[in-house]
Amino acid sequence: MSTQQRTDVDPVTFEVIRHRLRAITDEQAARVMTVSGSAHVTEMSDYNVGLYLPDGSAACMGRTILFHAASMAAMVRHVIADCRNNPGINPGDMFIVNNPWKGTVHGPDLAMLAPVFHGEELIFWSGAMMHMADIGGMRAGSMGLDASETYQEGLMFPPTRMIEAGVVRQDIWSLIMANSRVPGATALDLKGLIAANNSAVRSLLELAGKYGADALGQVMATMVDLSERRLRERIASLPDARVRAVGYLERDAASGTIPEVVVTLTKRGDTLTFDYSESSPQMPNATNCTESGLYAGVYAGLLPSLGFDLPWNAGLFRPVEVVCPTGLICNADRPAAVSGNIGGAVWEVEATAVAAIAKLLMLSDSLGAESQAHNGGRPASPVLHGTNQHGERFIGRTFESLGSGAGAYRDHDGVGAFGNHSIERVLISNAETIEQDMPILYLWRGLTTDSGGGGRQRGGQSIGCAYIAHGGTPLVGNQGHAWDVPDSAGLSGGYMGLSNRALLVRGSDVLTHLRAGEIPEWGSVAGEPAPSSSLPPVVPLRDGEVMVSMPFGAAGWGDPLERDPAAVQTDLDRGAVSLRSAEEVYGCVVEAGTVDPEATVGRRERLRAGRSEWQPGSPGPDEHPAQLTRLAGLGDALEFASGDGETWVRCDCGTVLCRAADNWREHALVSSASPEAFGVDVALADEMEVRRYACPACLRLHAVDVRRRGDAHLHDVELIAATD
Amino acid sequence: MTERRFYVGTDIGGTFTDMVVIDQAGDVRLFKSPTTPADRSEGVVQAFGIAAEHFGLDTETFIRSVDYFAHATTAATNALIEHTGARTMLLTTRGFRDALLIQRATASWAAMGDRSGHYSARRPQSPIVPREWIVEIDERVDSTGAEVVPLAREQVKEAVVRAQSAGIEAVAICYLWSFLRTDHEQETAAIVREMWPEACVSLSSDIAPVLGEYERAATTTINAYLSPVIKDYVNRLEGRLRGHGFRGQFAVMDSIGGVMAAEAAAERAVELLMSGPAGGVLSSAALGRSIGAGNIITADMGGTSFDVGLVVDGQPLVSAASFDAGYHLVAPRVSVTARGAGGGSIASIVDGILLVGPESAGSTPGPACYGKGGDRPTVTDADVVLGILDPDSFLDGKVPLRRDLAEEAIRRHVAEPLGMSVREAAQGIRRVVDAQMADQLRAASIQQGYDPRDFTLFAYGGAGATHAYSFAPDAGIHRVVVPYTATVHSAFGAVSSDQFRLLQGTDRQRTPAWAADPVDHLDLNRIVSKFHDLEQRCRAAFGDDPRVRVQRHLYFRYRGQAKELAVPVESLENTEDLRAVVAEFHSRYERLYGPGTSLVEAGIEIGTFRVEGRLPSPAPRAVHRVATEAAGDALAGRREVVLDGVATLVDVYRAPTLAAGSHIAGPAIIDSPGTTIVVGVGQGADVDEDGNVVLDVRSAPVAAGDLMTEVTPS
Repeated sequence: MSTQQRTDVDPVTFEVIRHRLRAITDEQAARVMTVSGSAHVTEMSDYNVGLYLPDGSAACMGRTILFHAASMAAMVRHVIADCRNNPGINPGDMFIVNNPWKGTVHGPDLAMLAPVFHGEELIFWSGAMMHMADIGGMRAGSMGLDASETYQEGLMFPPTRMIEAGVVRQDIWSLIMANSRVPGATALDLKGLIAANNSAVRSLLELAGKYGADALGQVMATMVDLSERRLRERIASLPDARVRAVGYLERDAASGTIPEVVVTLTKRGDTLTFDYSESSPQMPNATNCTESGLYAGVYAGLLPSLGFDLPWNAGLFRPVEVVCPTGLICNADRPAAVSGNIGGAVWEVEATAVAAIAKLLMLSDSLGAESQAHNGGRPASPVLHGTNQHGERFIGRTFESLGSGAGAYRDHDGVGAFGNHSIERVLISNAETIEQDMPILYLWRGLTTDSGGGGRQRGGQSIGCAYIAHGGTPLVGNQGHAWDVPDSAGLSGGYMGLSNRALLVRGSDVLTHLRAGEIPEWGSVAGEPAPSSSLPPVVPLRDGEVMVSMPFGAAGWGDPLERDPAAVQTDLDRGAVSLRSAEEVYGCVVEAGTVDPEATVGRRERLRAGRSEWQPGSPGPDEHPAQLTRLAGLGDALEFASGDGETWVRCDCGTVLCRAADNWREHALVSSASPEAFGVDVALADEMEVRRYACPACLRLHAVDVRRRGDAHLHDVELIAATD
Repeated sequence: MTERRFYVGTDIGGTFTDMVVIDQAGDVRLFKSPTTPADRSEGVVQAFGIAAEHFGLDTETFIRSVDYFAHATTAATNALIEHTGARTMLLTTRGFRDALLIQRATASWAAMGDRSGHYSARRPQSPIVPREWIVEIDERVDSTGAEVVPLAREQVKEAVVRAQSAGIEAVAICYLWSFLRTDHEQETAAIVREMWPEACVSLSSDIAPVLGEYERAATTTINAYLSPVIKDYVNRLEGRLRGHGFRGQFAVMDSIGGVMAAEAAAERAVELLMSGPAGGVLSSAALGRSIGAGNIITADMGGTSFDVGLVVDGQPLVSAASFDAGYHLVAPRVSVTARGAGGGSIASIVDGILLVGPESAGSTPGPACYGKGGDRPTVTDADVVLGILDPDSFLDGKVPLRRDLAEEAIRRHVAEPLGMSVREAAQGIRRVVDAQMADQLRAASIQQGYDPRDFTLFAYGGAGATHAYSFAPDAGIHRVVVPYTATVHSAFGAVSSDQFRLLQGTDRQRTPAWAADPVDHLDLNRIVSKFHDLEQRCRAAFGDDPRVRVQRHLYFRYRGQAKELAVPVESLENTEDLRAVVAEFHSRYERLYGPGTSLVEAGIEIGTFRVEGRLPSPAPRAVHRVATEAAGDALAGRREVVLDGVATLVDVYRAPTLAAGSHIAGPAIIDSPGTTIVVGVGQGADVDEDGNVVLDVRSAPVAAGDLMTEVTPS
């Protein structure tokens, strides 16, 4: 079916208009970046833009924060619903929204939405949004991770008409300025959003003047239809299946529980259903997300994984249904606090969506190369505030954690400093830019050794840093996340992303080192490292103390004992892995920094043989057909295979573990030894464990899961028979 | 009679080496000779031979008569793209070894273009310096320029010893905050040079003295990486010319404002990366000044790329930051946005939609009509099928084109899948590519804050004049100039540009938010003394030649913003002068980004200081005069051409025989050596006395939409 048959616009005009729309979106982004006054926007890409159909469906998305791209569409719908009759939606108007129950993910993410009128007719919406530096509330930066109710989280705008017929409402402007801790930056931020919409409105009207509003509308609608069709075809090419993924959040201090986000993804025909009903109830802290965050998380997970080469717009959301009752951590009711959900429930919704999609893609040999272990874990980037070296009040974040590593793929290692999965084009600032405004001095800022999860393909490294106070005493907010449970899941026997350390080293001798003419590695200074989780929500960083932040790296793919020894050598040379990891995780024999490939073979055999001591699972089937045919992949060396009308789970070595309907993990060798015992340095709460599963015959590692002690083994992939 | 003297400019491109020769009377002659990739100096000598023949001289006599030789070169660009630079060591502050590899976390997407959403296809940039040769040194300066840790001189010595024995050829030095306090870098360089006099050493405080350790390291490292290559290249070319008797001045085109001496080129190799495109923009600015066009968009369309530059009020727009071969650079350069869209861009059908590019057939195999094995349809093939390009006179008939192959490629890959005629398909390819170019013109102007409707378009390169009649009006531009030197425009820029030196420095001052008068919070003496220091160094670079003209710029932004805006600084005697400069910043800002976008209350920040020195080119002003009487029958005939979907018999003119003052009413074709100028339906062209063709394109091509029905089936 060609486009021509579904629209009056010929294929040439279509491409001309499509290209122009793309350029208009780029122009919006350039405006925001130029006019905004907040470093996390101008230097660190925490914003997005887009063009929307009259009903709010996304037609063109900007290239930065994917959560924003999805949530602006929802905000347009809320503007239409709430403002259509009163105060009305008229030419020259713009609306602001930052209410998490009205489309935004959390309060600091504020959008400015402009209807585009061609004569009397509303033909499109233009939108721009960004993370504002501060919109009031109990904590500087408006993200009170210790908030218990949303009313503590700053100003909250339901759809509000901020610009009437081209004129800014001074009362609303002043209201915002009066509530922000940084009115100067906030004013420029708002101007940036306005400028982005002005440029889009002007360009769209020019385009409508040339080709007609109908042609434009048709092109946008066709772009959406095309994306939908191609995604449906892709989904349909996969076997029908039900897959599951689980993510764990930070311990809630009040209740002492570690909440979880659980998704069951059902793929039938050309549709996907993400069901989050089994997730934990909402928490009395700021980790929760509303329905807006739930959708933003699912969509952000979907776009680069299943939609990797398709134009990103609302068409990619049409085959998708999201199910989740309210009152849960990922669909919270008022008055739940939600401002900390980017490193909380939204993150886990996205992470579990990505993990579930990865398991689905793995079933297909042709799409298997797109299946990805998860990117680096939750961002740990505290808000710093106080008085800086110039005697001025400051608020800001260092944001190294945006540059996390990428998860490994079947065919290659994860890329280091790739950026969060939810940010298409990430940008972090220079250390100098940070040091000029904040009273800190970096000792180190670079790729963290051993942060990438082990695997045949290694996970990408994340960026870590260590700094001291310099020219002031900055107040450091909550360091962030993931001291309790790793949340970057490996695939096919690959390890989770590692190195979730956030520490404050107190009483150190760092200043003595500096005075002696030496910049020390943080690990070599004397002093008492206190994990950030043990600290109050805001701590002063005093002279002689070192703040260390090493967010998670990304997860690996495949059994680490199968990694090419030459790749381990390169990793050692580049400092990507430590000697200890090379020996214990990868089973290499290293002499004077050089991997001995032959001795490595022997060591790996011994390590592999050690797995035979693991806890045996239920015995495999008594009998099965001798001849089985591969049906779908379950990883590097595990598959669904059928014969004589039945389907089985089979290891590459020929061992049949169980019937397809059964959970193969219950038939595998399993170890729940502490990570320390197999060379992995990862923080883990007492009630959690890392389970490793190996083939009882060939001893190959097939899965590494983080589970709550006592929970059943995760049954993560089930095929749905055509007759179901 | 005095001996005839010559002034020569060249631009060594991928396919052709262009040459412009001006004699002492200002008479201009243009030449082209194939580039010789193995040793490019060979092609330059051949071009000299062709020019000598034209002047009735033997090559050596001609070269001896050349007083001035200035050239634009892709030598630096090629070495960077092909990763054939020198083995380089980077010395940096302890703790910051990874800054160059991380690239502010952009390393995996910055070079991906529109495909950045395809995560599995993203890879890190391959490093120009392997991590083992990024060596950390104990030393530290803070954000106020105060020393926190002194330089560990012994560690520098150890690194040098190790590098010498490992075959390292160049050393880059980039320490944190070195642009505020240069002594650690200078001491380091002194140690390196003392131990190792022949090493090429680049200091970030020299090459890129601006805030931001990653971009500063990238710029400095690339400079070091290219230095030995450029040194060899310049020595070889200059040596070769000297060997043929050349006794004149030898200069190399930079990327921003003019030419520099050969030895400076080796020291500041990173400034050569846009040598060719800068030459084109600079010569456009100069030509604009003489024909009364102050605001110019330049459009250089060749076989594989489309480069757009901007001239505002007679001055080329300069960008402080740029992206090249995977790295972000902070050597200021003429702002040129480049796209891989040219005559070689390939057309294809995806989901029933016609796409053109970004895939390109390049020059090998090239468009299908070249008959060199390419079988996919390109923009050039469309131009041939539509009759716009004459297959027999392409490049003076040196490259005969195969119309049948062009038709076949378009039929198979575009016309049949879309159920169109070949002509309709060819017309579609043109519309798509012309619209893309119009989008790029808009992006290059609007995103910088300028309205394309206020600009004249200068179209050059082999294909610029062929497409400008269509993409210029689409972007709202009314006037198009095809310069007489259109086919060798960068070479002309090289010979006619000033000798130029730019110096930058940083001394940050900021005013508090909500200050009643920001000027109260700025230290005028600090500003004056910084400019004074830069100006002295700038004048010294010209040997304190009294003819040097110096211009000063101070960069401003509102606090919290990333992008700085340059404001020219004339007089700076007192606070009133400073207040006028600040006021100029506010008004420029609003002019660029729209009324109401500025916010004085946010506080302002000054950071970068820029000083530029200029000496005019020794070449006389070019005064190419076209005869006022036609030299022959300029109207060569008529041919059938499809313009905007309509097949029409149009007049075809030969440019060399057109007289000054000629007016040509569109539709018409002007065949000129190396390019084909199209005058659209309802448009007009005038030939001025210098041989430039000025198109009035106010009557845009027929509006889109119903065009397809008007096409005569082929």
